Amino acid sequence: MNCKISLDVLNYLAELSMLKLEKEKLELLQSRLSEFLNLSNCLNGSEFKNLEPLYSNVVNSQFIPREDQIKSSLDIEKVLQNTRLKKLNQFKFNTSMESALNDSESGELN
Amino acid sequence: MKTKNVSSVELTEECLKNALRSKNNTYISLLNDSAVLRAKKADEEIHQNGTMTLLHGIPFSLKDLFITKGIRTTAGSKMLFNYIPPYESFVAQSLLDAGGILIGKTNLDEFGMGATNETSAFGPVLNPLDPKKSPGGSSGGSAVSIIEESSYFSMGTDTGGSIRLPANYCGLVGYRPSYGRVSRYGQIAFSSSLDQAAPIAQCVLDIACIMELISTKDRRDETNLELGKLDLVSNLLSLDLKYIQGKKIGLSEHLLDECEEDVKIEMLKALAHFKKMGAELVPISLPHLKESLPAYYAISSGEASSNLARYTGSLFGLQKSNHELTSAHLKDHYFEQCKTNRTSGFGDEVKFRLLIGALSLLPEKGESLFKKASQVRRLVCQDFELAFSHCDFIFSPVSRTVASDLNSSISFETDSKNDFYNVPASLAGLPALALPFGKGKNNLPTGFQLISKALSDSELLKIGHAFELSLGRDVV
Repeated sequence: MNCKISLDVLNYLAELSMLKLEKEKLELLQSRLSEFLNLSNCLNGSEFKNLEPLYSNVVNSQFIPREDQIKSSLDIEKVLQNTRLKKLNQFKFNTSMESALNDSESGELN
Repeated sequence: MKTKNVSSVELTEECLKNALRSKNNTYISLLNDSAVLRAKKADEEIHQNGTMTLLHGIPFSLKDLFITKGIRTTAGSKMLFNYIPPYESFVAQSLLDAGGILIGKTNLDEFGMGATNETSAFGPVLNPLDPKKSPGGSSGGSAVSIIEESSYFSMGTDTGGSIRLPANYCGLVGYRPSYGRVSRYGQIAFSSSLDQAAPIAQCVLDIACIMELISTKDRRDETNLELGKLDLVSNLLSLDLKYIQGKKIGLSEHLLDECEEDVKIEMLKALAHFKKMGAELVPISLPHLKESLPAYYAISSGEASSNLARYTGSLFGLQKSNHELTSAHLKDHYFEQCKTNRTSGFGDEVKFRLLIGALSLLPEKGESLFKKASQVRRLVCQDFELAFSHCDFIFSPVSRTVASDLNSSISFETDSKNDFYNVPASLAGLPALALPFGKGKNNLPTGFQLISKALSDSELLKIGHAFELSLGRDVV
C-alpha cells in the first residue's frame, strides 16, 4: 500500500507541533513523511496486535521516591540571564503572553 | 603525569592548540583560559597528593548536549544559541570532580537528531580522515576532537547509534552503556526512553576508565539504576587473550547482506579472527530487524515532540518575536509567538522529526503508531532474549558503508539506513560496543559492534579489550 500525506494532514501536524511551514518546503516534507509512513506499514502486522506495548527498558527499578533534601536554590540572577524580559527577579512574559495566560486561566482561551 | 614526564598544563595547551588549528568545525564553545586554569590546579594537586583518579588532569571534550554550569549549552540548535545553564549535568560534574580538564563543547546534529552531523545550526563537522566525508552523527564533534588530538576522550550520547556511528566512521571505540547505567540528569532530552550518555575514546581501556567514574547512582534520574560500582579497569588490566576462548558469538543470518562489499569483507575477517582466538560462532535469529527502524523513528520522534514542546521561546531560548503588544484581542498572539520562535529556532531535521512525532502520536482507529511501535519494541526485546539463550554476545556491523559523503542524503530512506544496525540494541536498552577493525573503500575505517545482555557492561568491555589485545594494539 502506497500512502501519501495530504497537505491538510501536513498542516494539521504542523499546528500540533506549533510550527509554521514554508511553502517551498511543503513538497519535500510531504514526500519524506510519506516515505516514513510507507516504511511504517510493516508495524501493522497482526502478530503485534495483542502484545503489551513496551514503553521503557528500565529493569529491576523499584522507583523508590527520593527523600527530600534541603539545598540552596539556583542563583536567581544566573537563572534569569537566559531571558530578555524580567521583572522583580522573575521571568516576565511580554504583554501578549500575559494577556493570553490570564485569559487561559479564566477559561476564555480556546 | 605520575612520573612527571608531562604536565596537565602541557597536555591541555597542546589540545587547545590543535583545536584552534582545526578546520573541522569540531567545537561550538572552546574553553581556553578556564581549561588552562583547571590544568594548573590539577598539576598542583598531583604534585601534592598524586593522581586522584585515572582521568586526573586529562583533557576531554563534551558533546554540547550536556548541561554545563555557566558555559553556553546549545544542543547544536539556534533555539538555544544563547542559553547559559545555571546548573551542572551529572556527567559533566562527575568528570570534573574526577579532575578531568574540559577543553570545550563539541558540535553535534541538532538535539542529537541526525546521523551525519550535518543538521547542526553551527554547520557540519568534517571528518579529518577525508574532509568530504561525514564523521558520523550525532556525536560527530566528539569523535573528531579525538582524531584531531584536541581531546583524549569525549562524552557523547547514543539514542539510535549516535556514538557508534561516529566511532565507526572515524576508527574509534564508541560505547553505548545499558539503559539506566548512567544518569541522564542534565542531558538535554531527545528521546527519554532511548537516550544514553555514551563515551568515545581510542581504546576500550579508556572507555573503562570513564565508565567507572560515571556509573554511580544518581537519585535525580529515576531511570538510573542502583547497580553498585563498576570495577572495570583492574578487571581489564588482569585480562588475557584466553578470555575470548569458548565465548559464543551470535550472528544473525543475512545480517551482512545489507553491507557493501568492502565492509562485508572486513566483517568476515573480524569473525574469522574471533574464531581463531577460540570463540564459537553461533547462528541466531533476529526476525524483527526490518520493523526496528520505523519503530525507532515512531518512538524517538513521539518522545521528541513531547520533550521539545518546552522550547517556545517564552521564558528562555530564541525569542524571535518580542513585540510589546497591548491590545487584549491579540490573545492568540501567544501561540503565534511560540510558533514564530519555534519555526525560526529549529532546523529542518528537527521540524521533520517533530512532524513524525505528531503523526506517530495521532490515534488512528483508536491506536497510535507510537503504540504499535512500542509493541514491536517488546518483540525486539524478546528476540534478543531468545538469542542470548544461545550466545554470550551478538556480532553486528555498525554501518553498511564506510564514512558517507557530506551533502549526500535528502530522502528519509537514505538517512535512516545509517541507523539500521544500531537501533535494535537501543530499542532493547542493551549495551553495545563499537570497535574499529580494518579498512574499506578509500582506506576509510570499518568496524563492528558487539551487543550483550542488559547490564552486562563489564563482560562486554572485557571481550572488547581482549579483542584489542589479540590484535596487538597498544591499549595502555
